[in-house]
Amino acid sequence: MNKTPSRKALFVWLGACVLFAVVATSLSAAHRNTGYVRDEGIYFDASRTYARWVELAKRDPAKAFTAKVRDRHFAPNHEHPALMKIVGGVAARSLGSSPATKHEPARSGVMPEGAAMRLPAQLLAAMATAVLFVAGFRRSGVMGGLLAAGAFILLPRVWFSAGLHAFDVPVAAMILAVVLAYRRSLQSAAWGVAVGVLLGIAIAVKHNALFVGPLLAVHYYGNLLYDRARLGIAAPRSTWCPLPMVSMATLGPLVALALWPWLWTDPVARFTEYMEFHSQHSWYNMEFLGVNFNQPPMPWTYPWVLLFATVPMAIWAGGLIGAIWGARAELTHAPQATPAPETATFLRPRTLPSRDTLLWILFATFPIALISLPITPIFGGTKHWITAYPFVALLLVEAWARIWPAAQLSARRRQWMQPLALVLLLGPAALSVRNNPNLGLSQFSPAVGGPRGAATLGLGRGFWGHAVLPLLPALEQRKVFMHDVHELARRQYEREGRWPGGASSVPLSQSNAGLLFHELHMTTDEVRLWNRFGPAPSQVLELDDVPLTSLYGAAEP
Amino acid sequence: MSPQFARWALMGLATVGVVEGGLALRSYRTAIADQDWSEASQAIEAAEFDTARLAHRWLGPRARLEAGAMARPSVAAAADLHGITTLGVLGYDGARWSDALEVELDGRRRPNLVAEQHFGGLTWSEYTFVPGQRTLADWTETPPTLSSDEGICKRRGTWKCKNAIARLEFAEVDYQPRRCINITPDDGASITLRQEDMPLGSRLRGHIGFSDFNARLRSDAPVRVRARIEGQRVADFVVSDTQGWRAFEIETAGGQGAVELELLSPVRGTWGRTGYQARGNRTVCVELRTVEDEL
Repeated sequence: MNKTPSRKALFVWLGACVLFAVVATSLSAAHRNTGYVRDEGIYFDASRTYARWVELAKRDPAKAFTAKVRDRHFAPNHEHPALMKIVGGVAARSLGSSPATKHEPARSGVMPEGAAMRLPAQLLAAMATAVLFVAGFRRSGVMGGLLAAGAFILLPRVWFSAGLHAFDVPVAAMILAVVLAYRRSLQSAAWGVAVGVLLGIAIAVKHNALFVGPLLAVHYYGNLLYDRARLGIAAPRSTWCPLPMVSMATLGPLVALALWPWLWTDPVARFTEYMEFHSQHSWYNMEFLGVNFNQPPMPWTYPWVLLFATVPMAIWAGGLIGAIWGARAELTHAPQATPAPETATFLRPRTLPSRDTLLWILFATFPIALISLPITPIFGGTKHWITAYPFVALLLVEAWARIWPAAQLSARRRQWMQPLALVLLLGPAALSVRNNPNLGLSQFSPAVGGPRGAATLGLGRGFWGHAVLPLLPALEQRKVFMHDVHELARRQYEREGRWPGGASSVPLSQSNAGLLFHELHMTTDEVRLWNRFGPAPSQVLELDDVPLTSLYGAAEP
Repeated sequence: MSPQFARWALMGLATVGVVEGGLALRSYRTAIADQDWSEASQAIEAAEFDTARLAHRWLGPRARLEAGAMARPSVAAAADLHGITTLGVLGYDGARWSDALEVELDGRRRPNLVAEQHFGGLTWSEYTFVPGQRTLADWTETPPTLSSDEGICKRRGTWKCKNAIARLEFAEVDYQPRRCINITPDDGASITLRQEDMPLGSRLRGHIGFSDFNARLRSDAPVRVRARIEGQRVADFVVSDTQGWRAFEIETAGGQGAVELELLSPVRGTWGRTGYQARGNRTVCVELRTVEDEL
């Protein structure tokens, strides 16, 4: 094959665009059948308020930008940055249907309001998949590209979170963008500026991005120290504080501040409050190997075991091989033709190789290591280290890129072996998403036996009260104890006409039906339901035989 | 890296993929068909047993939905495996026993497996304890009278005392459902549960625990327990919430007698990040049975 570079570049971008379209469309279509998680209910509500402010800012900027009006609109859910909620709200106003309220008239759109609010996060997930395809392609051709993309979006937990109006996959996508931009910024002044802007956007998505700047600094200065200590190559003074670092330190906070109007009134006090909220985060309940934990320290093994239990082994084992092999090569081999380090400048600070594998390792392990620290509050599920997964995918590609040439197989053999290997590596993850694309939060890897194996081991099988859609028709005309379904999520079903007719949400003592989302610490609520309705449920929603949600109550209203 | 090593690595990854793909095909599907549940529930309803258990707790909701016998209080929220002779166990994928059942034995010898039936993914196993035991009296079926240091508690469904409230109900103790007399005393209250002419059998066996999860988060105060038979103190111990479902046993010499449990509760409260906080109620879950050994 003798392709010109321009044709190759065109192919890469075309492939990325196709992948972007396929992933975005699939996420949007599949997640119409995913129930609204607790947090989404709150974000939907906040998004509507934020979008009303955007509307006001267009109509009457003088009024909208006053501190009083701004604060009134951005006070709801101000413990998280506003960006995803603003774009979610704007997407809902542009594309979603909504009923008339006391604030606004009815709007007809092309999709339900909740689906429209979820769209920006889904587009970011699709973007991350496409970017991974490009990065993988550049490292190891089409197969490398598909491997990187698939090893991210086909992880059941990623697929699930990617469809929600939440911040976890969006921040993972943005951190990936920042890290890749940082790589380019080492040789490009334009990217040197862009990396600061992208970091600001990432911080405006979720607080995980606050760690990115320091981690990139560790990588950059680690490289400089290593060059000096092991290779005897000293960096010129102009690269000691280069453009990417300056950009991230200045543009990053400014962009983040610009995208979060809540902070504008009193930036220092409100940012401090935000930091305190997350460092003093309330302790969630997590079942781990049959034990309920609600006070730190969680066992340090928790995220590592959950990584094993939720990410197919073929992916993380491949990533591990890529990490070891790549890091060894980067740390032991001196650059073959050493570029003149003195040509490095403030604008283009690095002429030596940037040691990408070490960068991927840093970002793949840091989020998991952080959660495993005994001082870290119990934040909850796997979504809290989801930012590691794009880099696990890149490490897998690193293994792929090194294994095939080293194996010295004939081109003919590689022709059939590579697609087969791709299917074997991504197959288990794809099967897991195909099994149920809407209950990924309760999905576990084949190595632990899927949902049944995980339930037997005593691993938490879900939270967030979203596994309810198939039970909704049975709630018609009932007075329902909603358990873990957030009232704002319930109202969203109602806004979209999905809430069963005549059903009302009431306390357990007034109910004639009740939901229970199975978690170990929810046994307290389970016995309350038993005391009212008896121990036999009337319906059970299962994933591969494992009960996720039970409905209690009389068969007829 | 040598070509040989790279080929081994490639083969290793491919093998992981093949094995995991096979496991995925096995894991990501329903293994217990509706028909299995239907047949198993018929077998359970037809079987004779003192109580039944699950080898896998996650089978519970569906088992209680499908088989009425599994939803009986004495099955769904039983205290332990004492005071019975025959036992049925429902498991998945050939499982006949579990670690949780081992805990429930609490010193008793494991029963003998006498029959086993398979219904697709489900297994129903029947056991007999040798020697057997039977339950002569059970406070969750024949409740005692309650009184506090401020007088007799009146019962209309719920017991109402001047300084406590109590119910016979399901309660969560140590993340397990239990059937018990669930008492919420005021600070410093002393509550007495008393049954006249209770058959005494071979021993009295009971449990004390704190319910529920939220209450335990807010109050760690222990409770002092004193047991008397015919006015004679036969046990005196302290139970804290870290002990979970705390069992106690009192040897008896048969016959009948007045049995009394006195619960003494000190001030409530807990130590947290901000120091001591005198808040939150404790709710004490109590069950007591008379067990007789069969010869």
